[in-house]
Amino acid sequence: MIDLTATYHGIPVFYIVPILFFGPILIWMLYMMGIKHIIYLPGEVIAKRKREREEREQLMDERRKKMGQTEKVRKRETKYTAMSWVGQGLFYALFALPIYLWSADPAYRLTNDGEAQIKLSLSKPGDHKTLCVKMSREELRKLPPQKRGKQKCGRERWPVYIEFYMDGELLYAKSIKPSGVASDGPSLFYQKFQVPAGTHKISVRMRETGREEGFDSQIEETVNLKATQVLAVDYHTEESRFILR
Amino acid sequence: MRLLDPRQCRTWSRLRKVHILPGKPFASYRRCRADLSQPRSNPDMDPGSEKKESLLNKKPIRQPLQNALLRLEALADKPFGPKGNPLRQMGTISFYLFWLVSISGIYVYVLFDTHVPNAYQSVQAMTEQWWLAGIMRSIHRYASDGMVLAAVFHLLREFLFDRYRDARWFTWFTGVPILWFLLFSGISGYWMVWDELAQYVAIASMEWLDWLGIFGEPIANNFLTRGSLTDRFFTLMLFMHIFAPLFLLAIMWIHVLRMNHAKINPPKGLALGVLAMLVVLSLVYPATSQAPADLGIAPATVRLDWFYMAFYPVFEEYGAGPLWIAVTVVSVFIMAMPWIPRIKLPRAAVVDLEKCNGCTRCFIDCPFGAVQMQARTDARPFEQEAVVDISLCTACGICVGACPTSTPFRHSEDLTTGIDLPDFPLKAMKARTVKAMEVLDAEATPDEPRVVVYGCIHGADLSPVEGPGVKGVTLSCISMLPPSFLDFALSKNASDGVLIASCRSCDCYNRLGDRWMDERLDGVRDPYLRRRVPRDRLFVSYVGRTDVDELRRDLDEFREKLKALPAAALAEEEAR
Repeated sequence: MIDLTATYHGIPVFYIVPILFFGPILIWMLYMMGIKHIIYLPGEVIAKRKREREEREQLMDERRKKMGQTEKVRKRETKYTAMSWVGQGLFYALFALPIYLWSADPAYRLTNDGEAQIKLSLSKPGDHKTLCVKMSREELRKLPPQKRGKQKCGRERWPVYIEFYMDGELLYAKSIKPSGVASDGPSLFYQKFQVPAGTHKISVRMRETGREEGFDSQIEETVNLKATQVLAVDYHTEESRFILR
Repeated sequence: MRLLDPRQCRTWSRLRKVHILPGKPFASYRRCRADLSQPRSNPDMDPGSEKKESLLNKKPIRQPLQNALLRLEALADKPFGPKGNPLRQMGTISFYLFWLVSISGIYVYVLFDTHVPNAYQSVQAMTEQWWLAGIMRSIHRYASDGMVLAAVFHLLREFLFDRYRDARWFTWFTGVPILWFLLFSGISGYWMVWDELAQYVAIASMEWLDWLGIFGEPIANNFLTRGSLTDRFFTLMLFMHIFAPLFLLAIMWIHVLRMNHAKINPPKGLALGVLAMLVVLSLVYPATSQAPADLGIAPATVRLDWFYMAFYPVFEEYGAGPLWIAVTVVSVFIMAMPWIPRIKLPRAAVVDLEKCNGCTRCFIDCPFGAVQMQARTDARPFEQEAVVDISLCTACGICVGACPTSTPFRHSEDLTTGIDLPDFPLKAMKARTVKAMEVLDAEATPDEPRVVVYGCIHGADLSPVEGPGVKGVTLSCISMLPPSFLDFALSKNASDGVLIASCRSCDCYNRLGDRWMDERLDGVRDPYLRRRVPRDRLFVSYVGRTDVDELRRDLDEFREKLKALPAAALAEEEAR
């Protein structure tokens, strides 16, 4: 019995079905869209080309008959010998050599021994720079119906300020501008840190309002990182907190 | 002589702007506006001497490299023959490898599982079936590597031989996006294996792209930690790997679009050889995966494919910004190279409607598509007339050699032809031939055969072989020589033989000169050599610039054979 769900034990029958079904439809669509005009040229073009080809061939036939008895002009010709095959083999070996040498070697070392990686990621809109103002009846009346909201809010947002400490030492601090032309999008941040493996106390703080001091969200954890381990510190927008993964 | 009307040139420019592809709008406009009535060089000088000077003498670094490459190619000529020499076929080999990658890619795709957890296993299963799927996978990888190798060699060769300026700027210019898409196609293919290398390359590539800040969220977030990568994103990556080669193919097509008689397939023997090499390499050294990807672990060491990933260490060392700047600067510089400096060309060919009967031979033979046919603009009873797009003309003179009216036998004082080069007209070619014949006649000794040697400015220098009994005439391309000149050179009893020192076979600077000359001599291309010309008094020697010794050897051999022939047979025949 054919295993329709087979994915890699032999041909994956299940996955070929869509190709068999949609493939001809796609080919038919492409054919109707223009390939037929390439394949089937207008009759007069075909006839003209055929006529020209026949004339050319006839001319060349006549020419060959005439020239057939004529001796060829002497040229320096290549002589192929057994050594030619050896030479060709040598060339192909030379062509294959760099592929053999550099298609997967030499290996490239990315991290030092005993290093782990921390990825700090954030996609968070800062607070609006201006407070929302309640619209008066008079103001609402002047607006078209679809724009009559209860409040009027400015679009521009505060940049998000982030600090990353490890074992009490400040590793990174940055004020991230809001995305978008009108600075009304989320502040986006992604940064990798190579750190020594072992136990560390990490803390990440974030400020999304325009205030000078204090933080709106922070996390402080002690983590035990193994060599080559990746620890992601990501801001979870729905839960409004940093999470470690 | 009929020069192209500047107003017409502007129309051409507009058309080219609209159609984009085969155009050189601004340059053609400028050149159309140039004063064509004043000759830029002396007709008695070597044809295209300015060009020769700019090509050869001012290249203290490039010329030794050219010579080294010419010697290497001469070495490869011995086993492969000139037509199958792979060093001259790197462009066609690139095309061929593209097809091999595509065919093997379709096979691999059928067996590939696009689910993230199964992708690695499906590739491993292919590798385990070493005798078919394993070979296909390896060919897919190694042919891609070979394509980079061949494309880069092709680029360097064209640069070394200065075949990227003049009308060829478009081909050079479009070659750069080919490299971009080639690299992107290869890199996106490595993502599919979803091993440690794929993980590293995918994340680093996304980080590099994220630097541009044009994406909503950092794309690298898709690889943040275990479970971050979804089947949906993985499928998107697969589509990128499929569509990038399609774009690549489109640009490859554009790349050769402006070349007349563009060659995109290698000779059959070479194609089989390359395929055999890839199969052997796949069996000896099968492509394998590295450890499966795990987004919870950062790979410490990766085995990069250096053909595609050589710039990742640069990215690691200097970061995304400097790498973007470097890539942009290098790409723009390479694209601008045809104008740094701009090549000095002799003036473009001009059509003389008095002589042109619209036979289309110049149109068919022009290697750069500079000659176009249009409806007749005078009252003569022919359907078409030739017109030269001077922005595409390199003044190689092939059209002059193709024109049936280019014959030295006419006795009119002002020898003209249907299409001619203003800086080295047919008249000057005849004058040089006559002068060579006179010198030979004056220096003649009864025992030594007299030989006229026709050469080209890009081939072997003729001066070292000139001497008593040997006189050279240098042309801008060997195919500029109409076969009637061979008849002429032998007909006046002023020479015993003619040696045609063509460029090395399949290595014509003007792309097709040697091929057209061969076909004319063999009688399969118009204008063909008349039957009455004794073939044993002609010899074709394929010599490059570094092959003066071989030219001398061929000449000595030819002269020895001429000694055995009865003197001036053609003249006797004419007399009869």
